[in-house]
Amino acid sequence: MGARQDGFYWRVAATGTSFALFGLGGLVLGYVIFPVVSLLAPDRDTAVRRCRGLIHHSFRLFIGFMKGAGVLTWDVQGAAELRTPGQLVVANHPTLIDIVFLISMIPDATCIVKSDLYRNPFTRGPVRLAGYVANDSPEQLLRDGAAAIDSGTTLVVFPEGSRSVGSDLLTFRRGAAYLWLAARCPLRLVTITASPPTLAKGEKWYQIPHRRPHFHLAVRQWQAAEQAQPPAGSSARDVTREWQQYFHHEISA
Amino acid sequence: MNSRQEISELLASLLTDMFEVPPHSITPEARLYEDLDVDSIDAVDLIVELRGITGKQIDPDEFKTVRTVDDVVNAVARVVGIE
Repeated sequence: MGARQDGFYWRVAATGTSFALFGLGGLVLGYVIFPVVSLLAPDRDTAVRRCRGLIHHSFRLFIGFMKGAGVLTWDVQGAAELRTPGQLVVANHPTLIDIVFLISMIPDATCIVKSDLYRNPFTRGPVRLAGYVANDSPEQLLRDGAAAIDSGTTLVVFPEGSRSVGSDLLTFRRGAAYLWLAARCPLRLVTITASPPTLAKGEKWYQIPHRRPHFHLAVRQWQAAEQAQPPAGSSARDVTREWQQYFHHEISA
Repeated sequence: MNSRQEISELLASLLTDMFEVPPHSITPEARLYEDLDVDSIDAVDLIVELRGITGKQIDPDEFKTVRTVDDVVNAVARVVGIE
């Protein structure tokens, strides 16, 4: 663990400020700016795309703020590959802000949100205006996810379903593999590591590591093994297994 | 498809081929999710496959209530008209 370094108490304060800023930004975007953008847009698709663009730029600003304030540093290997439209991005999920990093690098990104967010009065507005995919029923999730990719949007999925616990991965769920097999779209795997670990599941915001954390994102293109269409169920299992092995290897390297 | 026996056999072969379920674990009481690792998203696939074979529309909502292998056999038997 070592002694508290890198301006520990400054970083606690800056981390708290970042959380506050994120919450405030979410409220202003979701309840002031998005409704105005939606009113001014000629149609719903344009409105959704503009709102996502705003989220993308806000997240860029936000990670820039965190770097400037000394909360964290980061580097990305292969960032340009994330900008291809209409692909599936599959990532591991070690921290609270993985999605912030990913969306800050993808101009038109959508993601899967708990359907609770569509029912909660505080979050319903923004998630609907950004057109995020609800995980209500599997049929609908597959349909909406594939439709988003078809329209040129990039779908970000964390097959772990929730943040990792400890240093290992959770067992991958198979939905992302089903989606990929159905959509047959370009696929990028993004390995995210935070060193020292931070913002993990169950941690309070002020429980920051003793050193300033560094985030590393490595983007890799994943080739479809062209196979004679085995039943989707068994190949979703194969694909999920391959991904899990890949990520396991990457994070233990 | 004209008996419950045939439906059971068909289902067992689908579960094995589609989801790598070990044949010996497929019993009427086996629970799809807990015992056989067939989750709701797999079930969507299974419904599509069963629809293709039986030529009958299976209501996904009805499928939401199935828990065990026997429940699936009953649901299929109902749509193909066997009691």
